[in-house]
Amino acid sequence: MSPLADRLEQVGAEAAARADHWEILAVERDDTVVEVGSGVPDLVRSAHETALCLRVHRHGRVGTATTTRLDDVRGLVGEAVRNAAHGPPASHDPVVGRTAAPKAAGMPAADQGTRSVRLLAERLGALQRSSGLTVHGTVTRTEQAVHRAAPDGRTTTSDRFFHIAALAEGSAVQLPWTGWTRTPELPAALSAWLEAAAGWDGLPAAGAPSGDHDVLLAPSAVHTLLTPLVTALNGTAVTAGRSFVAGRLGEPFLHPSIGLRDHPSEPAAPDEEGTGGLAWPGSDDDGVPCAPLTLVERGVPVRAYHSVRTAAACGTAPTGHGFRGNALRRTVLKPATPVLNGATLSAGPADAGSFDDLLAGVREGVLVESLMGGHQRAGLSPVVEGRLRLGFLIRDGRVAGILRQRPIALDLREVLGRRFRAVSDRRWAVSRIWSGRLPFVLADGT
Amino acid sequence: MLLTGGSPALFRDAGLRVDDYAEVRVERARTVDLVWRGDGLESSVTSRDEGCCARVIGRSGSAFASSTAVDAGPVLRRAARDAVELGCAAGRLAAHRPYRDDRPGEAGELAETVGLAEKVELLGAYHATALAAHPGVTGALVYYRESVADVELLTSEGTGVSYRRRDLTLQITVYADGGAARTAGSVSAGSGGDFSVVRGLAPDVEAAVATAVDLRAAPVVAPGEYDVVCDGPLAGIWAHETIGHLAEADHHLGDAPLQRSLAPGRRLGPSMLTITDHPGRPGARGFVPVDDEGTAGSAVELLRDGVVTRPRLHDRSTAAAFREEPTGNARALNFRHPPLPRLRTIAIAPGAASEEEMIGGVARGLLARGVLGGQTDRAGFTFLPAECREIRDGEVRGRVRGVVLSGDVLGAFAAIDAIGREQWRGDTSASCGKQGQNALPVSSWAPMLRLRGIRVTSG
Repeated sequence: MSPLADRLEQVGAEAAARADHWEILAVERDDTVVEVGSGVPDLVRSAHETALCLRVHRHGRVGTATTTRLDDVRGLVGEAVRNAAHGPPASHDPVVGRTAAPKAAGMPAADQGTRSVRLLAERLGALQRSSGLTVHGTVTRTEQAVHRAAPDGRTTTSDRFFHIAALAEGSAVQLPWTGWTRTPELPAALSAWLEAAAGWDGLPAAGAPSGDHDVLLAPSAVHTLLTPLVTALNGTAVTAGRSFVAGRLGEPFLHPSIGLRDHPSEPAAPDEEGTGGLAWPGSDDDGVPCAPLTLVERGVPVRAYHSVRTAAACGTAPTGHGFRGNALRRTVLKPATPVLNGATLSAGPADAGSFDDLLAGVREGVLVESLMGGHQRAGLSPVVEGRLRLGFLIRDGRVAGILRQRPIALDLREVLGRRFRAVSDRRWAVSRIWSGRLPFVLADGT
Repeated sequence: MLLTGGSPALFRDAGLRVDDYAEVRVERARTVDLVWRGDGLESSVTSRDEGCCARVIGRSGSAFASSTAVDAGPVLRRAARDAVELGCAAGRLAAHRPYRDDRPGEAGELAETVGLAEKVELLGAYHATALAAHPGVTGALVYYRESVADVELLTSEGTGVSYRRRDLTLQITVYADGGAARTAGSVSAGSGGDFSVVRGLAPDVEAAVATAVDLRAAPVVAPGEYDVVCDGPLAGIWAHETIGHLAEADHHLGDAPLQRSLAPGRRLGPSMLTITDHPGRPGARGFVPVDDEGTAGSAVELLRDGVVTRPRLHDRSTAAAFREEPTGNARALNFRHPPLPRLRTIAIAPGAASEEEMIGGVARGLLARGVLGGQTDRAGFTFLPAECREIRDGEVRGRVRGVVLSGDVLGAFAAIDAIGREQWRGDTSASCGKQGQNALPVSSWAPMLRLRGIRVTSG
């Protein structure tokens, strides 16, 4: 028995003696990060973390304590029991789905240990030579095991993956890109995007077209645009009373071609889109099985996503989205909250095409790569307002200039509603607050 | 512990080279989190977060390692091994002035001396008050957090420092149904561990309810350019997000345009504008008398009389790169992170204008109070004030909603034409985020500011 497994036994035994019910979530994680500056690996960081969260029910109330000191079992249990004396009623924290069978999140690919992260960092740095842009970034190799224990049993899931965060700088553009991979190979989407960006770097500065013009949103901007809706469908926003869509489920909201679905990646799916690490475990941190969930169907928001706690507060069933941190990176010091880990935005086949097709279809418009500040009112309003961080002028189906920074407001109901035209058939991973595989989106004159 | 445990042997046994620099930092933190959401208390959590980190900087390479184990030896050896095996670029540190003072005195009613039952009763009453105050209220969030961390730092140069960091925040947000959107009012408080700042907030909660409820019927602001009078909390965070972040010296590395923009002697604002980042005062969130490299904190005057004076806030690495002195701004969120140049307490010096004079001089403008959100990318900024009222012909009128302030970071200083005479020195729950080290405690002190011709969009 490993030291941590032994510790789980001890905590469980102590908690059983002092509480009516108990649950443990323990995380062991090893990260190695290589930072790349101007194409050269210039710093290495590593972190080893073992932490444990204990939640107990005692006399009808819930108490929670977390620790990194695994040797102090009595102290941990004592803290949880003390918190339960003043904690929330246990009725808000029902015990459901605790015996979910574990499912492997994907077999960790063989690699060369921590040296593989250096290899991948060197490959990232080499893009500086091939693209002509200055490349900065980080490559993180994560090895993680998550243990859940309760009176009815114990499960363990483990995973290993690489996360890549890159920033390509030219004389005028600063282009971020993030993605995951299970092998120390650069996703093809990263190279392709840098190649495109390098071609746009020398373009002249331009203002936005003055009249009505089409808007082509890159995946990063689509993420910003969707964040109000994704936040409003979060059980936490619903229970807090801050969701603008709660109470309006079932009402038409977006274009009838639009769908939004949260689902695990296909184990056999290739990594070239940079989504290879976006996988789910078998169950969430409440022990509820993870399963695909349709959030928006034919333009109609149909479901919120929940943890056990938010589902109980709303009188509905949990959906397996309760995670401490997120499914890829658990942090026991954070509370279990509903998190989307693999949302996919899609449209009907008649409304999808390649990026080149979408671009070619724009006579005059703008390509919005990223926005700043657009998430600040997330959940409160379907309007995203912020400042254009990076955008391009499109003229006659070609990128023709780099837009000057300016304020911008996008109404989700317009861009993905009556002005919606098409999505790209390729999707990229984007992860900020929530994670998804998102396409380019084209909207008619706005 | 670390400082009395034969630490020289720690470095001797780590396999360091003669000219390697190494440091270890051990932290023991305790945190209490209380959250009310929905119809009552949602969670009550205590956390014990302990661990250590090591940093090695040498000719063969640089590395940082951390672990939740508090035995520094293996962590230091891992950092030394990674520095060599993963072969990253070498680093260099500037000489510094190590912190030598005794542990600073602690101010106020220490949070851990207040029992959990009393906290739950007091803060739960705020939540209940908000929910019951008006039928238009759809929900309320109360989020309280207190933490105390004991830190020990030891370097291969012989510096040994121990210090205690405290932090306390309370955020109360009240939501109301505004039709297609939700409206919000908020209360934000913070301190360096002084619990008394969260007592007696019932009138503030009622004001937050009134804001959320009144905003439902408030007109959406018309986009355009406005003269904006900001209150102290908003002005302070604006200073933090603009000149503050621009002054973090790691952003200057390899960025010649930024170095030119902040060249000493360059005029950025009016002659009454002076902005300083300093170690703060005991009891405040941004009190940092010693940074996480053991450097004693010193005040850095960023702007004096509208002109750039010292444009860089340093850790020892950036100080070496620019051949300047470390300023005591090397801060790490916790043992999981290496220190970076970070702000502490940014302060806009008070001016001479009264509130009446500032508002009286506005024909068409906005009175903006507090912050709902804010972001900058060092070129531009966007801010969402917590509350905005229209100003017409020198008179404050009703609330407007959907206000988003935006502009160019450097250009906005020239828009300031009046500075209030009272400097706000409270703390809010607003913290600082940078490179994954989010929610670092900071303070922002500022008087009211009047800015002419600020771009406003509506959302």
